Amino acid sequence: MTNLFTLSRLRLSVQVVMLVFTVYGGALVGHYLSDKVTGALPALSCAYDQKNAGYCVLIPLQHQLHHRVGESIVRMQQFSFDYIIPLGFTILTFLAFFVVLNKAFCGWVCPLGTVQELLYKIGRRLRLPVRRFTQASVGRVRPVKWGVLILLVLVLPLMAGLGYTSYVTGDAYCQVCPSRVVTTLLTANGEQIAANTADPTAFAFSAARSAIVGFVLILAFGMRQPYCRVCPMLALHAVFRRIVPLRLAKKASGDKCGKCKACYQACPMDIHEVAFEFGAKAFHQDCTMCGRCVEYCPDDGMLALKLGPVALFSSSAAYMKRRAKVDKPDGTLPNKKKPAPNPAPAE
Amino acid sequence: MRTIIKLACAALLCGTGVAQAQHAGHSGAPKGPMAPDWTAYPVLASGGGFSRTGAKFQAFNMHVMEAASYASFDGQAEKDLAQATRSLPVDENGALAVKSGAQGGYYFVRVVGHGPGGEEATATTLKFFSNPGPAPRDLLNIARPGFEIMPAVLPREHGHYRENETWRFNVRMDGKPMAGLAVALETSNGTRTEYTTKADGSVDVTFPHDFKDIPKDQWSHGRPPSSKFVVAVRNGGLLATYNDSYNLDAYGDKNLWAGVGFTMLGMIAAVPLVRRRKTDKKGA
Repeated sequence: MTNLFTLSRLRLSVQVVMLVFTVYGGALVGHYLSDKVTGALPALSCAYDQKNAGYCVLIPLQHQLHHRVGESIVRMQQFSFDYIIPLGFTILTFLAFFVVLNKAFCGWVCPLGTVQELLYKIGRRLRLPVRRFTQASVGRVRPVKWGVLILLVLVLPLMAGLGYTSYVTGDAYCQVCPSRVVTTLLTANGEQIAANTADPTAFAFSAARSAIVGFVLILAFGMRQPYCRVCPMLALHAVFRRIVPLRLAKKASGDKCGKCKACYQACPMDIHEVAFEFGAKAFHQDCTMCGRCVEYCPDDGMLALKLGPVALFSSSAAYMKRRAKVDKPDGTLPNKKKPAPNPAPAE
Repeated sequence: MRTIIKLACAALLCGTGVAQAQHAGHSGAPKGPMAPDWTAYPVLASGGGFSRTGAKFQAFNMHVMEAASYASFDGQAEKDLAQATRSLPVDENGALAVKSGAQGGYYFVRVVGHGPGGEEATATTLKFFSNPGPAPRDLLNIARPGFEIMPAVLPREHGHYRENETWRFNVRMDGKPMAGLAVALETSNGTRTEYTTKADGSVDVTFPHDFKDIPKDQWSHGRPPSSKFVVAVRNGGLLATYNDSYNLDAYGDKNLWAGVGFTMLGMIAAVPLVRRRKTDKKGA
């Protein structure tokens, strides 16, 4: 019975509630943009979903760079701070939300993250093999998210505003974002999975988007959070993660630590630093604050989810033993012990 | 890999000429609105000069006596409506300007005067400014004096009225629903249709599938431009209209099966990564 109450189960409950809220929450908060919780949510809650409760911050970032900053630079004689102020407000609104949950927006709120986790759970039920990045290969994937943030979210929308690239690149990241397809499909809207035949550039982007969605949805059966690793939201979070009081904390030293590597095995983002580094270095830029490393750490108090100086959830050997009965660190289900054969009845 | 990067760069830049041409077009001198040749009903056309703080309009097919703008607001009291209402100066040609200030996204513009048959006419349209402000719910539903036809709900920001979509409008007289009245829909693509209001004064209007005849040389960004529509309703010697624009069908410039095909390709590419390999079996 006590196995029912784990951090992972609490997180899954929050994720499911947030998935429903971010995808269908317009029924609660209202239809118009002005009704929404925010237009700068630090999670991939897509504006193409007409029934959602809030917009992802990447949408106003791209639109403001395209329509306000870029186009105002073209008309330099009209340039004024009026064009920059909305961009500043978008970033401040993002920070106002981000300061509450830090990178937990990825691990607890993002609808696309939740869908990937649910698919991985199905993969475990189907006993599909687990695919992970090695310590060497994960280093090659990590820089991709920065490239996506800089190129697709910042540079191409600005270039579109300046008139150097196609208008389609005005929201270049949204053009390829799989959340755009997944969240709209959840509302029975197939429009975003369709290939855009308006022009060759739009066609190329929409074809890439559909292919990425297909690739991610299948890969998620065998790999944890495949898309999160290249998501620009993860990079945007990483920029600000040190300024927020809620964080993953690890002790500055420990003799036993680094031997069992259960935290590394448990990490859905394959962050090996959580096992081999100490102090602030263990809170890596790719962390989504899911808390699995804390759950599977057998060293009392070595890892914790902290709000300022207050530990909200700390590692303990007793909890870890209980937790491991639900699933293994990599999410696979524990092998069921075969019941011992009944002894032959006495003659 | 190098080839892929080259192809991606070419795709990104292939719209450059178009993009720059469009910028040139955007910064060109504003043109005055043309009198509509597609309807004889009173309409309010955009008069150019649109910015995030104001817009110009031109009334056609009516002699305008007075004009007003209604900003979106929260509340159902008369004083809320009064606070949101601004009387607008209008010249002898029916030209007027509305200012949004820094606040408020949804603004209705309404002119009252005499229609083509000399009847008392009211023409209304909507302007959306990209500014924060209240939702237009109360503005749409509050009881206003006079005869009017108003949308029940508006397309969300980044949304549009589109071909083949059905949207509800409400016909009211001094705030009370008007049943059994004929509502005409006319579009700049040549469609003429008629509907009848229900007992609650509402009428569901389906935007016609009539973009197919727009010549390609009028297209922009790979799709035809927005088209105009007006819904008009008469009640004795009164005439009320609401005009706006609508766009191509949701799938008009999309191919669903091609998109599904690319999704399947992505899925097929991922299958080898999740299949059980011989090494997995040995290790198991």
